[in-house]
Amino acid sequence: MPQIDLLHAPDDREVTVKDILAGPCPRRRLISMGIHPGDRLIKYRSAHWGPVLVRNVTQNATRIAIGRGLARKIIVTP
Amino acid sequence: MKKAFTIALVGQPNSGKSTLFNVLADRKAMASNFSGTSVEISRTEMMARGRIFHVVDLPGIYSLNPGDEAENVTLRYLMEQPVDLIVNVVDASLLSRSLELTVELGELGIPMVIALNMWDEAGRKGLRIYPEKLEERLGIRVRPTSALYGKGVTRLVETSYRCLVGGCEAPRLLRYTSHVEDLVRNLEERIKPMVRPPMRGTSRFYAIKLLENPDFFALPSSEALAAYAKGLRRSIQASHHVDAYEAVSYERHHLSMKLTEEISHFVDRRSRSLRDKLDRYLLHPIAGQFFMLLYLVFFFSMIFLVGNLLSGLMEPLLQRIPALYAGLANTSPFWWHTVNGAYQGFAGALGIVLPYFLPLSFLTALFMDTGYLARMAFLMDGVMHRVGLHGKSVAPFIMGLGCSVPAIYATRILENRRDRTLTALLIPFIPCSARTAVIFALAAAFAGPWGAVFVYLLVAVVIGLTGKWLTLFLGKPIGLVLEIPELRVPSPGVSLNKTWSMIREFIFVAVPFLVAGSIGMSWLEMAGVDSVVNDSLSPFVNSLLGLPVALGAVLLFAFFRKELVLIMAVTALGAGSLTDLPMTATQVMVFVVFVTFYFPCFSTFVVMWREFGARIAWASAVVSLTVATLAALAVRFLW
Repeated sequence: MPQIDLLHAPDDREVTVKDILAGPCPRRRLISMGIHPGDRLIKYRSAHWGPVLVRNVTQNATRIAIGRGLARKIIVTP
Repeated sequence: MKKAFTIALVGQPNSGKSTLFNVLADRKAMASNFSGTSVEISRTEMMARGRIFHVVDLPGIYSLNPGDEAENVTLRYLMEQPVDLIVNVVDASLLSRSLELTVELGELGIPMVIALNMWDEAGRKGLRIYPEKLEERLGIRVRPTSALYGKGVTRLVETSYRCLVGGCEAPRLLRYTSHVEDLVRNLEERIKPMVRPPMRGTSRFYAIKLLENPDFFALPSSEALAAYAKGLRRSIQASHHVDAYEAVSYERHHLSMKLTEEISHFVDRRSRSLRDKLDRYLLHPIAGQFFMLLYLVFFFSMIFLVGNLLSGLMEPLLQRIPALYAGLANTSPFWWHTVNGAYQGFAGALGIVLPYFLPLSFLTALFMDTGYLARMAFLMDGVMHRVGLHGKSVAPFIMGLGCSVPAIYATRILENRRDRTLTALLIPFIPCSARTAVIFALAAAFAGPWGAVFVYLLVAVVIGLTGKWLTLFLGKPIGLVLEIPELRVPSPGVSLNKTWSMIREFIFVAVPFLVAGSIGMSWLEMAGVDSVVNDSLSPFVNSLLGLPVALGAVLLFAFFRKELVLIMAVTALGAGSLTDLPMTATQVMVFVVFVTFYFPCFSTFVVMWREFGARIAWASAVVSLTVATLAALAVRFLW
């Protein structure tokens, strides 16, 4: 299965989080805000600048904005 | 005397703790629809059935492992202060994630009641929750509430009362999966002898925390224990392939997922589409920016228009007063100066500051409850990156439009010290309500609305350049993770209430200060002290900035409250009212710009010192004075 990072994931489609390659601090942050490996996310259509907007479908949660640098470290599969 | 119980409101950010707190208390904590706007502990007393209860509103936390300073505050409070009952405020519309904290709080072993807040929101999302099932699973009382509209709060209070007076339980402990559970119990056995009163929390709680976090502060340090815990952490790492912190947080995650499945199910979710559609526009990369601009234009023009209108209504009334005591000037100059000083302070507060403060407070209160602040943070993230910050700093900045003091506290929502310091150094440049009044009142009198627009544009440029300049001394920013809460319709009643409490504070705290300051100024003038100050500041005020010499003392004393500037300027220059100030339009603009940027006021300086230490407080003073001088000079020669 192809693996891409969240920043380059297709818009408006569900993806599954495979791994978070960030350092321990941002990794903990993401987990405590409800983004875990294995969760299904929807990435909303976004601009070529500014943060990426996702919604955790597994938890039916609110949207979370993730900075571009961090989004690049979240590995997802379709 | 019966014991006064303490109730602590604990919940995840944006679960509505502060809104609930505001309903419980007459006093209003700063609440908004943005994660982590209350970062100071608010306390109040509440009467129920003739007994007094202390209620504390603790800053929102995602978990009891502090990720930012606001979370640290809550954890320390729970570990160090006597709490008789935790009211766990759960965002019912975000059930599964919110219950992770519930599970963790349960490990503390403190009696607990759950407020399933935003009950209406959950219903709209199509989430059907059965509170009685949750009660059964955890063995504690669960009450649905909708704090924003005051629903269910009476029952919650009744339940808490019965729980405290009649005695009640801590939540039932939920067990982890076997491997982690065994390790926890193992560690718990070793810790048990160390956990003695007055230490709070169960030995299980300490065991779990020690597994998660090697530097957990609340345990007496013991090398043997630390080494043992280290071994257990390695064992988890080896078998779970993640560090112990994550393994434990997954345990809680799974427990809460399971709980959610047991106590709720989805029915339909059609009704959300309207707000979702609205959000598509509000968060759209281009349309969103346009809406934001539109919103800001609306926000400031309302303040300008309403402020102007109210000020125009007040002025004729206030101008009749001086004639009443004019006779004193001949009979007793001392009393004339005293009464006149008091009048100037009073008239300035009611005629100049209050008219602008009123619409600002109301619009801010309304705005805070909608959830638009988080959207602004999202939209501004790109721009903020250029200044070396990220979108989250927008929240403290926007709060700074009200007052710099809560804004500086609000920087605690930022996760690291670098972002906190930079944001706090930039906050004093945001015109607070006092300075907004100065800007708008002087602009209205001399330069028209464009004068005000010019000052705000200058503020943006100054923040940008100063941020850029300060980042040269600091490291790189780290990434943004920000929750975007659902849009909500604000309740005008709640907003009016908040406005009233802000106005009340202004009238009872600021106005006496303004009157006293103005009397003091008037005395100094009578005694001729002001001319000494003026003369010594003259090279700066007059030669460098080109302002009237008499403004030297004004600028010096305005350090205490910047609202004083207008009133004192009128007194010092011997003008009858603001429009009669003997200054040219350029001088007024130089003055406004300098006042906007120079030195944080006294309270801001004190808070800055307390939060960041002397070095940063003085740095802020030096930076702002430098920036103010440069900006004022630029205006003097370019306007």
